[in-house]
Amino acid sequence: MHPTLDVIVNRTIATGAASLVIIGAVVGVSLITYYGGWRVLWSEWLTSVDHKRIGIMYIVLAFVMLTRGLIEGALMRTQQSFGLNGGFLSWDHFGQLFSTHGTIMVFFMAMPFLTGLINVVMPLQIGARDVSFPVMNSVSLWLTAAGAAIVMISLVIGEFSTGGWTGYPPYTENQFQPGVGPDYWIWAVQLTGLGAMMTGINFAVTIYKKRAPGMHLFRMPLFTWTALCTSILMIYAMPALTVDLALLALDRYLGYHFFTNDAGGNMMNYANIFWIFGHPEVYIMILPAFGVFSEVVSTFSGKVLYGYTSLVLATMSIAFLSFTVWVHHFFTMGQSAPINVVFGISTMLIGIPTGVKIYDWLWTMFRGRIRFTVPLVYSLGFMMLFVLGGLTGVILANPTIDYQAQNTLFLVAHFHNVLIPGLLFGMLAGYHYWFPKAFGFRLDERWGMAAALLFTVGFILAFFPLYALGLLGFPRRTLSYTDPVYLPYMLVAGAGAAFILAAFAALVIQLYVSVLEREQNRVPAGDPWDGRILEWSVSAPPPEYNFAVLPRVTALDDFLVAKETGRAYRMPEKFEDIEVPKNSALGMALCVTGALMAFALVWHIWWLLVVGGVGAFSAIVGRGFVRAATRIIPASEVERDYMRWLGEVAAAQPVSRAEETEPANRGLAARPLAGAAE
Amino acid sequence: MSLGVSRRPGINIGPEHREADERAEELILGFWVFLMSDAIIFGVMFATYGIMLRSTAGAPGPHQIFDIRNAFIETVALLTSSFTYGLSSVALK
Repeated sequence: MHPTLDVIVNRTIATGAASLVIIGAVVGVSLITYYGGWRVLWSEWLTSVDHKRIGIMYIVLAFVMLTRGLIEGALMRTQQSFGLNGGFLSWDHFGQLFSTHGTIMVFFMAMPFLTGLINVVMPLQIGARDVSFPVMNSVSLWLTAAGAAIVMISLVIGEFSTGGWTGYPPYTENQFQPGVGPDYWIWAVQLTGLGAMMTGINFAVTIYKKRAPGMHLFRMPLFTWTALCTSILMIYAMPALTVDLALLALDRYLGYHFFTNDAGGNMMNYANIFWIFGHPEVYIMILPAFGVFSEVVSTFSGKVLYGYTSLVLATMSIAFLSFTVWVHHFFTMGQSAPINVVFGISTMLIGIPTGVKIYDWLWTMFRGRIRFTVPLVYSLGFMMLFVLGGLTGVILANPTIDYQAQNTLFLVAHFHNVLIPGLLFGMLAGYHYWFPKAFGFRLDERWGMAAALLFTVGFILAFFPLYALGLLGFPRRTLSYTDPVYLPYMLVAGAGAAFILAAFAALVIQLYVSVLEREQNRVPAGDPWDGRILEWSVSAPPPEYNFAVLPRVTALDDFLVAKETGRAYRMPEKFEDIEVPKNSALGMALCVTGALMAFALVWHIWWLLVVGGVGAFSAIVGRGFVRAATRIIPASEVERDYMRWLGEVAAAQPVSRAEETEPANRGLAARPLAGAAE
Repeated sequence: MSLGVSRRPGINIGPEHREADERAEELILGFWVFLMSDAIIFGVMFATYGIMLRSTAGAPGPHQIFDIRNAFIETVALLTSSFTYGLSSVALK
């Protein structure tokens, strides 16, 4: 039988994508070898337990996976633009695309990005030297990386699930998908879910136990508050996913009947348990973005955050309410109308604290000295677009409307409308805002601005037509259509996808340009944006131990008060030895063995499973025998570093906010004119 | 940040070993938080068990398979043991 054109096109795309993964890996490995970077990579990064480096690696992982997720999204938009009476993709290929797109964007882009950002920033904000469990932090990172590796391997060997990112049975059961696809999905998500649960424990304990003296809960910066609420959500939400996936795996591997069509199985229980995890997950993703916007809006308006207490209470209310709304994901599953009403109302309630937040940010900006930097542009885009996304959410929260709009592109438009301007804009704003703190030099403003504007325009073009398409009855996850009325909307959405790809290209160019021009954008004094909180009170990049002497916190915006009263950049009375954790290879060991076990489970290679299991077990037991787990940084070295930094501060010319984005900005802020709004 | 001597969960080795005490405090809180997370795992499994109790597709149910009486005695013995252990550690403090 001769292959048809369709088969050729699909095979070419699949082979091209697989080749890209392999070529990317080969090029990466060769470059590292060529520059002799393996030793540095191993000892400075892969085995590092420093929260800042772990955070950076999380964000690198997020960017790698974002690349794939974006390309897949654009490919699906292209397919539907050509989808009148056909298109070029097969249904199976399209199914794998939307499944990997969703899985990657949620578990391997959003989660690593926000975890990375919290990792870099939160310990600095609370005046801590590291998180509570640094080695566990590294293990969390590498379990997430192992899951990401499994998703990437699925592109080369075998296939991925076509069951969407939620993997609903019975469609993901053996009866309908006997291949390895759903198994890849189960084990990749299981690995990263485990990592996320440990991250949650780690962050929550850090925030409760490691705050600097004087930093009581209501002096914590808003970003730390959102990190705390996110961690609590991770602790309570991830286990439901773990159980749900385990039960599905039992069905697939050992012939159980938890979610099958026959023999007493109940697939609706899967949806129920999944969304007990899944809805808090939505807020795990959005709360840190809210935290970033709180910091950014306050800093770039030159004003104290309006309504700090109400923002904290709103964050906690959202975290609590997020556990009370999960049924709205399956209004049409057949439960009674009164139950739907209860969950519809609880869903609408979330709009209240979220609205409080929007007003607080607006009032923060009101009469502020606003600087239109890249993070603020993202924040403004967020405030305008997110309100629309929230509004359509409240529309969908009405069960009677949901019966009409469920499973259409209206829903797809809604959740992209909250996730892109919410989560993605928030993460990119945070990336731009804290990049100088993490690396010591500012990112290029022009390319950053181009990326922000292109993302905004691209988002509007790509997703607003989907609302109309949804109301016209276009079902989600549909390969092609026969009614030409859909075509114009699809073409606009396809153009939007091109804008989003251009925005991503601008981000890549921005990073490249910024690295090239890093010398003229350095901010060694550490405070490029006239920051208000502790993380700006140390050098950029901060030393391994963060604070030479642990700070004593006296106010909400403590560093701002310190700058006003002249107690910033002072010489402490004396330096002490600092104990820091030694590097550990445990994370890498569990990454390799975890990925091996997942791969073995996917392909039913039982001996490899045993090898991986024994390896993982030995690594954990072996870690227990490590006695010298910390090393001492002598006081003299701390003092030397601190003196060097004070020298850099003294050499830096204080800059006004007008010169903020100029090379003159070495990270030392001039005090604003007397009487200016603060 | 609490500096209380014996009022919190944990081993409470007192002000003489403040640093070790604080370090242990972090570990113990972490472990409690992990147990809370674990409790959700078991909660979801128990709930699933409850839902599926009658979904046996004609196969024998728990009454025909499990010897509840012995399991019950064993469980009570185990729990009593844990409880008395807890009491003794409280008394030790």
